[in-house]
Amino acid sequence: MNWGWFEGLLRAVNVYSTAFGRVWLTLVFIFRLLVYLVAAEKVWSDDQKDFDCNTLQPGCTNVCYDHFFPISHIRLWALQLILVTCPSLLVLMHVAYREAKEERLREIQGDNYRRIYPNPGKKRGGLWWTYLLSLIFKASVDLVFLYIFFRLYKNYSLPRVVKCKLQPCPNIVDCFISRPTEKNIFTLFMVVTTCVCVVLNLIEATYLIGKR
Amino acid sequence: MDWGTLQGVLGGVNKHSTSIGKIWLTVLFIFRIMILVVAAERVWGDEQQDFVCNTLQPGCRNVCYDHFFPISHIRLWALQLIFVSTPALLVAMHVAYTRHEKKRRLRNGEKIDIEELKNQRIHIRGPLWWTYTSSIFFRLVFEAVFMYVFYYMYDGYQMPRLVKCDAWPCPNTVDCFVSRPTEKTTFTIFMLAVSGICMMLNLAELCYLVIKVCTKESGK
Repeated sequence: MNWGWFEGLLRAVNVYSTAFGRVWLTLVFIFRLLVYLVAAEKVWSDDQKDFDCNTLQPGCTNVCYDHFFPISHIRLWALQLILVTCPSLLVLMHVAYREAKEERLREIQGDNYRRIYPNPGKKRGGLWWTYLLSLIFKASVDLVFLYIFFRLYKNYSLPRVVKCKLQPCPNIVDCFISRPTEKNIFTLFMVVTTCVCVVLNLIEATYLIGKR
Repeated sequence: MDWGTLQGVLGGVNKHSTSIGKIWLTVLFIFRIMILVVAAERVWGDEQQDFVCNTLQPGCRNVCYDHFFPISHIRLWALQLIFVSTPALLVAMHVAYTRHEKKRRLRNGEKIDIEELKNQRIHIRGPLWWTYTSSIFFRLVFEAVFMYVFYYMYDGYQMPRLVKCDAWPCPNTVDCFVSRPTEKTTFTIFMLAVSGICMMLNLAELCYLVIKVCTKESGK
């Protein structure tokens, strides 16, 4: 039950997507998921261990880390990647539902029945709406997460030093973040790819509406 | 032997579930097991290492950690997911038994198509309806019990930043600081919300099954 299994599940969606949808899926797999797994996770792995505060006061580091990193970038990206790819499963479920309906009809009427869906994967009727809704949902999830990042981490960047004056820290304490430049680069990269994905989703939605 | 094994077992049950059952299974795998494996386990990974107490007394940190975290959230969620998934095995066993009976009748001379037997989707009727309904009921009970255990053990669903410990051998009262409390609270609430959604899906499925049987009876 890991990213590999999830990826296998989503490959099946490729069959029912438009060309834009396939580009989007490739972008998400290669520039977001793969970068997340092979690079970003390692950069954030010593996140709390190497968060150093200039104090001997026990507990101060914990409290300051918790205050400046309410939810780590890595966890937010994991949630974002899972939520952004799930709407594609709605399309898969809708097609499976259509095929199940055909099957039930075939059971009742025998082999010479009249097919209601000559091509269950064709985006007509209900499936068109499901696909469009999934696109809108994907774009919204990406936008919501961009906003969350903006609110939690001002300007999407991390400073080298943060000044912490929470209990039990005495007065004001300097705390140093581990690998801030590398983290900023990866954050910027993920923000840019997210924006590209949102634009792709909007183009695909326009294309779908135009084609109808 | 890992979560993949469970997925293999439950995937087989999927064929004989209702639509709501299939949605429940998807939510379980993606929003609970997968989140547990790829995110939550990392958040709780340094749980004991970064549990810091304001004392030099040896053993005090260990004792305080053990006092405030009798069973870690991660382990409780793993147990919850296992317990909640196993009632589906009852259904799998019943289906296997039904197939076995059909094969026995085939061997005794009745004409049944073997290929059809292997791929046939067994409808939820008669004794299977009772097995299926009781499996959903057990799922609901297990979810509720675990939600209560979490609430009782951790005094609500929020992780505090600071806990005050006076267990022996700690001198007087000692301040202990929990690692990543905000992130942990976020994930606890997320898992709680998804458990709630799963419970509602189970309730909906239960109602659907009962209504289906009642309308069938009144239709007759």
